[in-house]
Amino acid sequence: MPKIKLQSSDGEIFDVDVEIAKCSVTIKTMLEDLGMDDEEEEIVPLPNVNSAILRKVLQWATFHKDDPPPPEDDENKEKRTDDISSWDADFLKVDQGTLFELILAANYLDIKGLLDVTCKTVANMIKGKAPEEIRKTFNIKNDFTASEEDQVRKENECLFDIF
Amino acid sequence: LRNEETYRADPVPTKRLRYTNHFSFLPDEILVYIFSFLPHEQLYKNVKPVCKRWNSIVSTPTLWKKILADKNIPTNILCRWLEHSPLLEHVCFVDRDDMNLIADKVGKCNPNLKRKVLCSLIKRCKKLNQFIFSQTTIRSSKFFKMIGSKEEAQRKCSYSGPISLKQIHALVESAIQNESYSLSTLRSGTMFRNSLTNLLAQPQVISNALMREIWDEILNMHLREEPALGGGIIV
Repeated sequence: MPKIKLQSSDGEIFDVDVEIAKCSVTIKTMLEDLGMDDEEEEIVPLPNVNSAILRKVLQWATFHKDDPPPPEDDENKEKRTDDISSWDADFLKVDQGTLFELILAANYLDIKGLLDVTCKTVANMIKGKAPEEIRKTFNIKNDFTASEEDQVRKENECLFDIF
Repeated sequence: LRNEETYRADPVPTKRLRYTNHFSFLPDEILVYIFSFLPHEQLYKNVKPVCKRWNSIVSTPTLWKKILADKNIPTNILCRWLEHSPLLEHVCFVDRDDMNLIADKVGKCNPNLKRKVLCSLIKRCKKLNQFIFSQTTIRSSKFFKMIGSKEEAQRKCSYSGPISLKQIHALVESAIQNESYSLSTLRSGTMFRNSLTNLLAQPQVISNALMREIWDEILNMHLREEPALGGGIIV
């Protein structure tokens, strides 16, 4: 199988099957646009992805290389977040920093499957939590002034008292 | 989703301080994408109050293209969602008895409704017996065909806005095929009378030439027994 060399931001070179690398739309387009052909063994620089994250991304891409295209969303239902496979769930048992870097890498490399599963994981961390719990989970500073917060709270109270 | 500016050339360190808000490294587009996996109720209730940035991102119109609401979403909240959804494309309301109000809001707030939205809205809302679309452009002919059909004849519909000849044909043809309509029932039937006369009573949106065509069309449908279709049409 033809190979391609990917270079991470910190200079590490990864020898990857072209088919696996092409699950990244960014790399696929790059190869097509630049007319890099498979025999030449060019090095594709990825200045936005470090080696630790690129290794994870390639691990994910290798496992999912034969996945069928994802089914269309049902318009009458909310988007699902409970359909993360057990392999993916294990794969994403990482610290928050890594999870968010995977999101950035998936976005930059344009790998929809990985972007979806990482964003769903974060969505699941938000789901069912009160605002203060969310702030705590993600170390988010409450930057509302006292009066702004009061306003947001009042608005919410008057809208949601029927719940 | 991509935002080139976000990705600077310098490498991002893998290890970060333990107490870091990792969201601050993500561009707004990705936050929008993450939020798109959350139910609207949650976005409104728990996500908006988190911080200023989240508060403003929750209002991003693309998050509100599709609105789903069952009876647990109070009318005032649903109305507010609809008011702030300029890109609304799809609605799914289940088991609600406040549809008159809601449909009115949908009609008023969204200037460019698509056929699927309208048809699904009207079909799903069994209790909906009056819908008013004003300041709205409906580009679909199928919608007009549907409101002319027998199933919808008990409902009152009024629409004010631009209309194409094709849409009027769809409405008239559909109403004519419905055997219970004669001209007199057309005139007295609330649905048809309201819709047709409201539609035709707007010289500012329908040119005289178009009116004449409509008139000819109605005559061709062998409806001459009665002298006129009511005061709404002046050729």
